[in-house]
Amino acid sequence: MDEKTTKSLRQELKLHSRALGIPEGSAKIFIDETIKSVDQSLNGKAIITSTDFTRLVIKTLKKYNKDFAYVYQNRDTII
Amino acid sequence: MSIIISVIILILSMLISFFMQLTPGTFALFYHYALGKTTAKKADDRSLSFILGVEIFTVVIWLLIYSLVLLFFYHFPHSTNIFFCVASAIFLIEALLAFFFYYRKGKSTALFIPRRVASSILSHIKKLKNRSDCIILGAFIGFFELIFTLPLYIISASIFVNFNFLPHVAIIIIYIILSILPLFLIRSAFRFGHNLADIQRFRAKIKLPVRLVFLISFILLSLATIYLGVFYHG
Repeated sequence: MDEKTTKSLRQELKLHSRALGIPEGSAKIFIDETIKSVDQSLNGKAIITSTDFTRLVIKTLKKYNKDFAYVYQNRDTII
Repeated sequence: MSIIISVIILILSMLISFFMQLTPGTFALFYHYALGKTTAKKADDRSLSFILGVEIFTVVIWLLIYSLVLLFFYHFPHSTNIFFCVASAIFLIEALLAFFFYYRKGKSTALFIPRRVASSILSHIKKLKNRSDCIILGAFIGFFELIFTLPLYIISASIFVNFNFLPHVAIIIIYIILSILPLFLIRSAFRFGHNLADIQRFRAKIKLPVRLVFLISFILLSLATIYLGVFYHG
């Protein structure tokens, strides 16, 4: 995962975690772990679609906080 | 009998307006992003600005429609029956549109608005910086739902024009309060510790009931207006 993608993902996840009221320390762990896990899953893959990328993020977030994963999953389809 | 029918039309119009989902959905998203970017107090302040914007839009559109309907019946005083018959046909179409196309297919609560418009609204929400931005967003969001709400405003205004004895101001105030009531409910939900995920799960759960309310209410509206179209003697 390139630096730009990592930065924007981190920013977005941070915003959602604050809005959901997840304590800062826990949120940092969730976000770091998610980015690490997504990065590992993408390793070695030449092509990845945005849908696959989102799915990976959701899958990892679900392990830590269901609301967090749900909001991230539905962020574009609320209206 | 016409009086009872006209009151039923007003109640059904209010009911449909209350269940409209675009403004509450946008408001929930707006509050969520405001909480993510600022403090809870600021998010709360901004939410009031958003609600003010919605109110301004509703009042302006009401006054505009009322004036236009007044002018229409002034210039075409004998067209009341045809007017109600046309309205009835429109409501029948709206019933089908609302039931089949108000929500997009799938588990999400994505609405009928074009996806480009939805993502544009989302990017606006993400960039909101001050109260005036929030007022403008609140005022403009109702515009996208006019395909469903405009006929309701027109029929209610025409009821006012043709049945002068109804307490106009009181009914308009109830109408406006009902259109912003869902926003206050969402605001309270956030203040009492619920988050966007809870609200969104609830919105997803009531998808079918909302579609049924629209279908039944629009069909009843269609029947009520056709009754006025046939039997009304102004």
